[in-house]
Amino acid sequence: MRRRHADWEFIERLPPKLKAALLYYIETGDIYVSSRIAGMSVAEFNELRIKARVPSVT
Amino acid sequence: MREIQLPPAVDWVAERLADGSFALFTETPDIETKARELMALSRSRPLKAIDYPEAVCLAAGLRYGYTVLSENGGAFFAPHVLNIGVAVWRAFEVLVEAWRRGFVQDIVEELRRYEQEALHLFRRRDWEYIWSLVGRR
Repeated sequence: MRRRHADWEFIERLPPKLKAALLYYIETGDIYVSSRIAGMSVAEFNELRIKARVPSVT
Repeated sequence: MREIQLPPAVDWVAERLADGSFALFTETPDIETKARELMALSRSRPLKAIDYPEAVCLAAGLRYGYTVLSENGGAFFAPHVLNIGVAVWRAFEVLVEAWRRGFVQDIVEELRRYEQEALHLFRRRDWEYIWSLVGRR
């Protein structure tokens, strides 16, 4: 579901670190580790996730 | 506190700390030990791994009887899979409780608004639960 909804054009334009973090999130759904990969707080990464149109599901 | 950066949230937390309704929690050695036990346990079971921040919250919830607020799938399913006596609420449970207490008038509209604003999709099972409560589709 995360992969299907994602805005891939947006993701492809991101710097490598942020792109890698979003790809990790899409694969795992782990926002904590993803935010560490991106070098952001969880809140900042969550904003990036929303911009990339990647849904979260618990 | 490091995770809260946007002004509305920072203001809200600062005001609650000032009026005494919130308190800062610092993990103690026994909480840290329990948190690491839960992390290790989560990796030996069919459960999404629990990261340290969630593990600390679960340990504190166990120790003090607090309800843990988390969207982490590992933390949410931990009470069931690890058989530990702690309540974990996601945004879904918080909104449903707010509706039950009369703070939310239309729970379906509120959940949909949350889905759109947070880009967080509630599970079909959650929606079925809501439909069973409000009796409409």
